[in-house]
This record gives sequence, C-alpha cells and structure tokens, in this order.
Amino acid sequence: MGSTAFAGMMIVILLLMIAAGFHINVALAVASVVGVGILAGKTSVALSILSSTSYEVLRDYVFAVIPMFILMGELIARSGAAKDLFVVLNRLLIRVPGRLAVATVIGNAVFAAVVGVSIASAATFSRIAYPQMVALRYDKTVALGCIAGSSSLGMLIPPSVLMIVWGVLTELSIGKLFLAGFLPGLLLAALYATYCIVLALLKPELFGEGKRAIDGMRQRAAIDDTPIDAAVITGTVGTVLLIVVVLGGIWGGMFTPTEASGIGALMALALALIKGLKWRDVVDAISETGRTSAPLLFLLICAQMYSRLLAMGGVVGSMQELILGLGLSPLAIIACMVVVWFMLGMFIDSVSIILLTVPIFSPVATKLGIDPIAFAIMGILAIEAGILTPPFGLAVYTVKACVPDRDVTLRQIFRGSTPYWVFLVGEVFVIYYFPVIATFLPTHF
Amino acid sequence: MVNIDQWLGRFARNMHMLAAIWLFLLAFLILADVVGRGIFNAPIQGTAELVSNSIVAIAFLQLSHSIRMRGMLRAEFLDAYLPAWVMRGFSMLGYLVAVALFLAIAYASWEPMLNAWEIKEYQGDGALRVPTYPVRMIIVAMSVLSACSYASLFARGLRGEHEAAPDAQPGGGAAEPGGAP
Repeated sequence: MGSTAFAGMMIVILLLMIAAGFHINVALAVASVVGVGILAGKTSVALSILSSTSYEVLRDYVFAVIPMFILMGELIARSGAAKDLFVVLNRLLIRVPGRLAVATVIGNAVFAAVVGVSIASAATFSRIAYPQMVALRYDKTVALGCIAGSSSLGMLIPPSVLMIVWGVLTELSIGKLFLAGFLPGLLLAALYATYCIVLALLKPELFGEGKRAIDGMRQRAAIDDTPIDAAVITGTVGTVLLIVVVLGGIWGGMFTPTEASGIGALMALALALIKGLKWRDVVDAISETGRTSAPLLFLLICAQMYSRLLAMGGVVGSMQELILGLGLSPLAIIACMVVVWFMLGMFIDSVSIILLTVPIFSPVATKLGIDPIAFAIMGILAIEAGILTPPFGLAVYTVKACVPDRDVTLRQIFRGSTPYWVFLVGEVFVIYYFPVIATFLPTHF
Repeated sequence: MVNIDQWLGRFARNMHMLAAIWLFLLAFLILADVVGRGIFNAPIQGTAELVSNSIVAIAFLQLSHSIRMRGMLRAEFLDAYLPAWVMRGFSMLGYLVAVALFLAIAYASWEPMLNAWEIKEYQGDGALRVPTYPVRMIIVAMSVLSACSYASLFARGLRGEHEAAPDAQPGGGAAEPGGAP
C-alpha cells in the first residue's frame, strides 16, 4: 500500500471513530499520530509529534483571541444587553410588518458583532424574543425559525470563532477575515429581514397581525410597555460602543486582534457590572469560557497532528490531482465542496468540519483561482447551514432547550428555519459569482 | 475509588478556575500594554511572550475539568440509530483510547521537560525572558490529570451512569448560564 493510500485509510478510520461518538479531539489525535508513526516506521516519530505539537502549536500571541472573545461573549450574553437592544430595536421598527421577527434578525446581527459563536445568540433570543412573539400570536413555526435562523449570523459577522480557526489553519490574517465577513453578514441579515417583512405582508396571520392591525390598530406587545430608561440605554449604547472599539480598533490598525479581544473582554466586564451582573454570574461566565475554549484550543493541537498526517501521506497533493483531474468546472468543484460541508454539517460541529476539510479544500480552491478570503467566507456560510439542518442542527437544539415553552417540537423549529439555511447556501454562490462582496473591505482597508 | 475520583474532580475544577483567573489577568496585562504603548509610548516588554506561553498553560489547565463536564465535542448522530448499549460500548472504548492518548502525551513531553529544566531554556530576548519549563511541567501534569478524567468517565460508564450530563451542551457555547455545578 502506498503512503497516500495508507493515510487515506487512516482518515477513514478517523471518520469511523468520529461516527462512533469518540471525542473528536481524541479521534483526530490518535488516528493522526498512529498513522504518522506507522508511515515513519518509528514510535519515536509519533511521540515527538505528540510532544512538539502539544507544546508548540498554541504558543503564539494570536491564540489568546479565542478565549478572550469567548469570555467577552459570555459576559455580554449574561449582562442583559441583548434584551435592551431588542427593546430599542422593536421601538424603532414599530411600523414595520413582522417587527418582532425583524427586530430579532437585526438584534442578532448586532449581537453577532460582540459574540463569536452562534449558539449564544440562539439561546439568548429564545428567551427574549420568543415569549414576545407568542404574546403577539405569531405562528410558532415562523417565530422559532426566525430565532434559530438568524443566530447563524453569529459566525459570519465578526468576531467569529470559525474565522479565527480558518485563519489559523490557512495562515490568512484574522483581521482581514473579520473584515471579509462583514458585508456578506450584512447582506445575509438584509435577506433575512426582507424575507420576514415580505412574509408578513403576504401572510399577516402568521405574524399575529390581521388586516386590521396593519391598518393602524396595531396590537401591543408587553415589550412595547417596557420603558426606555437609563438601564436600557446603557445596555444598547454599551454594546454599540464595544463593537466600535473592538472591530473599529482592529480595522483602524490601532490594535491587533489579540489586543482588541483582551480590551473587549474587559469592556464587556465593565458593561456587565454596570448592568448589575452579580459576582456569581461573572464567575459562571469565566468558568463557562474555559469549558468552551479549552477543548477548542486542544482541537487546534490535534488539527496540527492531522495536518502532519496529511503532509506525510501526501494526501493534499493527491487530492488536488484527483479533484482537478476530474476536469470539472470550478463551479462544479465548489458545488461538490458545498455538498460535502453541508452533509458533514448535519453530523458534526462547525469547527471540526473546518479542521477536517479546509487543509484539503483550500489548496484546491487556490489552484482554481478562487480568492482564499472569498473562499473562507463561502466555506463558513456552507458550514453554518449545518447548525440549522436536521437531524442535529445545533442552533435548533439550543432553541428547543431554551424556549420557555414545552409544547415546541424540534420538527417545528427545523421547518421554520429551512428558509434561512436555503439563504445561507444560496449566498455561497452569490459570493462565488461576486467575490468582491467578501474581498472589497479587506483590500481597501 | 470514588473518593479519589471526587478529590481529582475537585482538583481539576480548581485548576480550571485558576486558569480562568489567569486569563482575566492576561486581559489586564494586554490592556496595560496597549495603554502604555498608546499613551506613554512605553509598551510592557514581553507581553507577547507571556501571553503566548500562558495560553498553552491555560488550555491544558482547563482541559481535564472540561472533559469531566462533557465539554469535549463529539458527533451524536449514531445515538439515535444504534441501541444504547452499543453506543455505550463505543464511548467506553473511546475513553480508554483517550486515556492512552493523554498518557502518551505526558510520556512524550517528559524528556523535553527535563531538558528545558536542565539547560534553563528561555523564550524571548531583551527585558523579559520567559522560562519554558513551567509550561512544559503543566503539560505533563495536566495530561496525566486528563487521563484520570477519562478514566473517571470510563468508571462512571462501568457503573452505568449515562453519557448525557444535565449540563451537556454539544458544541459548547454560551447556551446555559451556570453550566458548571
């Protein structure tokens, strides 16, 4: 057996271990290290990879962004700022059809700019927006779909954990990737909001508003009676200020992403304390940060072991030859990649998908002449669709776990969020044809 | 056995919190560095070296508690299709493999740790030189502790306790405040 075939076999074993429910880090590390050891014919090579990757991979200033941005998001998510934002947005949108849904979309877009993971938004808006929508007699499927669907903005609008991981694997600048995600994120938010408004105009009954309501006798939600007081203003202004400092600081060249993440975490702490977050909750936030970030950081170590296996087996080169040798058009190749991502997204989490596929796909895309930054955004869009698709869409499960309504079924949420992942996949091809949407900001700033 | 396990669990949790506080202090260090550079034109020497070494330490310090709290990612799609006892068997096998993996990491990192100690290996130059042996020691110690965490999951499996802890949130994230008991 040639070394490439052997490495391929190890990848199959790796996938089997993942399917069997082994922890993904463990599966990655074991398959890679055993594979490399056998290829080299020496146990010492395998052991030296274990020790060198454990020690070397994370020893870079840039990796601090992962726990810091997660910490920032945890603190903000607990501070109640999202609710303030929702109150203000809802008031601003009072004349817009389906306003609670639109406020959820825009609230998610803004919230996405302070948290790096989609799940935080899904959990938060399930608690804030859903009861209001039900009180206004929104159709439950529509309401749940909107909450789960718009949480996908979290990974696209910077800061985003997926972009950080992608940047680390492909050696693209994280600051540039953050810039690249901004316009596609806004475009997606605009698509979602337009969808909600159009649906509300066509089928007002789904949004609890009969014809009468549109003619002026608008129903009032409890949230309309929430006074816009100092606390609400603090939460809203604080969130916006945080976005300006963190993202503005990176893009303005004042901070590196690491510095911005550290300052952002402290600003989030200040805002949370001003908003009256209890000490216990602060402790919870930092503890939860570790529970999320430590496995993620360790996953990066394991990914490095995996890439040694790929390199030693010559897998990247052979896959390149194989894929390019099929003589397919670039569009067809990208479509195949999207299908792979989409399928994997049904079963495993977004970060693991990136670790498994990007080292192989990214060189192929570069060979096809696709801008690596645009390709990153396309990949993140396709992979994010996985959090909304059956059978294991993570955002859908999070919404189910967090909505204060026992009658809600997973099926309902999956159905409601279908239009949103269709938009996600659709936008992959929009970026394919118009990569400038992703590359404009990174090349001009 | 159960007592040792409880003690290790508490120890893992303490290490986790220690690293969490450490991360917080790093945020202040970064702030001080930026303010020092921006306002007084005097950045704090060695911030990058300190932060980069600390992240390795923090990741390893928090690993074993995360393992106990089911923070590690896994694919769950076969759970719905295969009988529970089969999946339980797979998980148990996975835990054993993980014990071997972490013991191998500790074993492989042992020599480099001794070396770093003996030759007084440093990173960085100029004002602040960060010794490398503390991080290497943390890797060895915490890998052993992580192996213990997996052994504990294995033992819990033998006693028939289920994989899904009440706070299990696949994929991590800020799903539930107060995840850790």
